[in-house]
Amino acid sequence: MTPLLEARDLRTTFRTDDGVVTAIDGISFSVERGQTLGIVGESGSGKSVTSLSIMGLLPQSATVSGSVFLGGRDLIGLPDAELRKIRGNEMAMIFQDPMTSLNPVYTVGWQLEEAIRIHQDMNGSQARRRSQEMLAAVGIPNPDDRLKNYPHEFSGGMRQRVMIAMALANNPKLLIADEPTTALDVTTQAQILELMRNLRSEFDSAIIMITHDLGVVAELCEEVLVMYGGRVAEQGPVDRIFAQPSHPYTWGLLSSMPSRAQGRDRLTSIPGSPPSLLYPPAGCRFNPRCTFVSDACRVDPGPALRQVEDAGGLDHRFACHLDAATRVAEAARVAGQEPAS
Amino acid sequence: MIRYAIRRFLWGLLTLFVLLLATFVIFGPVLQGQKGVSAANTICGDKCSPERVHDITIFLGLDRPWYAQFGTYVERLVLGPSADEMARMCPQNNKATTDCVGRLGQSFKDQRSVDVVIGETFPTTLSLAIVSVIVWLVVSFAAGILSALRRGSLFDRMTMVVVLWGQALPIYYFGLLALWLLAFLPNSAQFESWFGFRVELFPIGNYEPLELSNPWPWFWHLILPAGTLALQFAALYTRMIRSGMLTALGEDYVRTARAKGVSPRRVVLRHAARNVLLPIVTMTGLDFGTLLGGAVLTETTFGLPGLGRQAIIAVGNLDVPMTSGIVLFAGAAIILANIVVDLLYATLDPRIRLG
Repeated sequence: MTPLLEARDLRTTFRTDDGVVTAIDGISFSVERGQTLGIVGESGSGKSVTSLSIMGLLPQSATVSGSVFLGGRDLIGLPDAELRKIRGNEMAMIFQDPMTSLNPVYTVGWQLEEAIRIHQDMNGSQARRRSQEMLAAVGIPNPDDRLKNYPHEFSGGMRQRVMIAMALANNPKLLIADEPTTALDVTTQAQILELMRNLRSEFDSAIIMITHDLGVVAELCEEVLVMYGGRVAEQGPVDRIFAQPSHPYTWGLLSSMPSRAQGRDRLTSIPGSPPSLLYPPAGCRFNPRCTFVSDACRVDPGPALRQVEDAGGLDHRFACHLDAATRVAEAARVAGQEPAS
Repeated sequence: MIRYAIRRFLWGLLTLFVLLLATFVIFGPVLQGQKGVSAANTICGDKCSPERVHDITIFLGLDRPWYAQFGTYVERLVLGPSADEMARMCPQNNKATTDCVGRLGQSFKDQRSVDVVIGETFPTTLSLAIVSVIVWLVVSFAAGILSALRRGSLFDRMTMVVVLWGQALPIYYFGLLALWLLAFLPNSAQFESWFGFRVELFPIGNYEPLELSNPWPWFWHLILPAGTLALQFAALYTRMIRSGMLTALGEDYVRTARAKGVSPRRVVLRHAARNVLLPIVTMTGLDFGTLLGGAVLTETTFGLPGLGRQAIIAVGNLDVPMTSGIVLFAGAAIILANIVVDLLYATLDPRIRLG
């Protein structure tokens, strides 16, 4: 069976005044129907640019190459008029900040109905009924009254529910969620994640979940893509990567998770800061911050993405030069920190 | 909403009263006259009969303290001139007695009612304001949105140059330039010697009242003055709309709209421009209100018999009732424009709650 979405060698560059910035440097992944893929990484790792590249929402200064197949059709290079029929219809997106993502001068009902009527041949009252259903589906009480309200009359969590309702209104095959819970407070975060989990089965949409929170990945995703400096550091099934992480950057991410640090005094952090995409380090992008760095790591083009040796038939890849013995030992140590969950 | 409107209106009346008092205080000393010579004498001139001087003194209350003068002034404004006052101030041979005394008093210059003079000159000013507000809004929305969409393009840079030009140079410069190039030159002997014909492309100033059956002469006379006046506003508004659009187009909600599959045209016009509309409505309302008090420079340059030019004439004649009448009228227009803007804003921006 072909995957719902397949990205091959996706590469996105930006022209800036200082030169060309490579935000995504050739990444490949796929998402099956009804599945959730997590894309994790720090700020600047290229995870948001990945989602915007798929949606075709990047500014004019961006150049995207490679291919992204959705239902067999390559989205890259598709004219905007064609892409518009797919956006909001076959694939939809929700964004990080629900406080600013809705237009302040139109009612929530207006914005929902707009989303529906762009893609579906419905009259006003049909679209209104559909909007009501959607608000009810995302757990907003009194949807009939709430449709007449403006965004400022909703709380952050409620606005994110509206965004989700708007995204799912046309039954998209793919939902891209770009850090949907980052701007929300902790209790609301849990509610939104719960909602997304329920809606996934109800609408049978595949989800690409972009986050910097491995906790979200553990809760919601089957597959995960760990990005660093515009490249894939490690990718594979979530259980597998939590059990046997194989890239030093993944180790760093796992060690810095608060839930895994119980019983210790301090959280472990990764020293240094993310690389400049304008002047990236030679070789492995992570080498300046890596504890296990060797001379081989500083040589271009850097380690290739390869299969983990004992993956047991699972597709678990990583990009690192570290020798197998050290890697397995360190993986065991990092995975061993995990509290019984 | 209605309660808010009423309260806003009452505040407007209070503001107007303060303005009334202020103009009275400012112009009051003129009425006191110079060194023992009664102001009534000065107003009336040398050939004035003692009866006339007496009438003026009684009418303005010059024989009473200033607060009584102010009282008379306000009373006349609210209730209108009494029959007694009209009989006193209007010459015996003047049949249309309402033409010589109004609520705002009588002009020192030609014994005419200030109300009537304002009523005669205001249509010119109103026409000028309406035509130019339409011109500058159309021009600045088109130029502002286009240059925001094509930021950094030749069009954008040209627009910004014109904007700078329009803002930097005064109205009388552009007015005279336009008059000379578009009205005088095409209809001159010089032009005929060059091209063998002459044409009256635009009139050299002046005003033609609006005839609904044939509005063209009215419009034809207004094109140059309204265009000149509009240019200055269009420059500012284009800049505002351009930067507003640039901000709006970078907002998250615009990205959301695009992610929904909304067409670029609709994204720009319905989602971005709608948010830019709010500050522009405020500015337009206030600028329009200000223009209703008379566009002094434009009216003077183009010889339009409007309120602004009337004000200049009145000031030159030390015509206190006329000057303070126009000031009061202009002030009322601005106060009214403020109220309208506030009410309009509340309906346009759902985030504003009235109370």
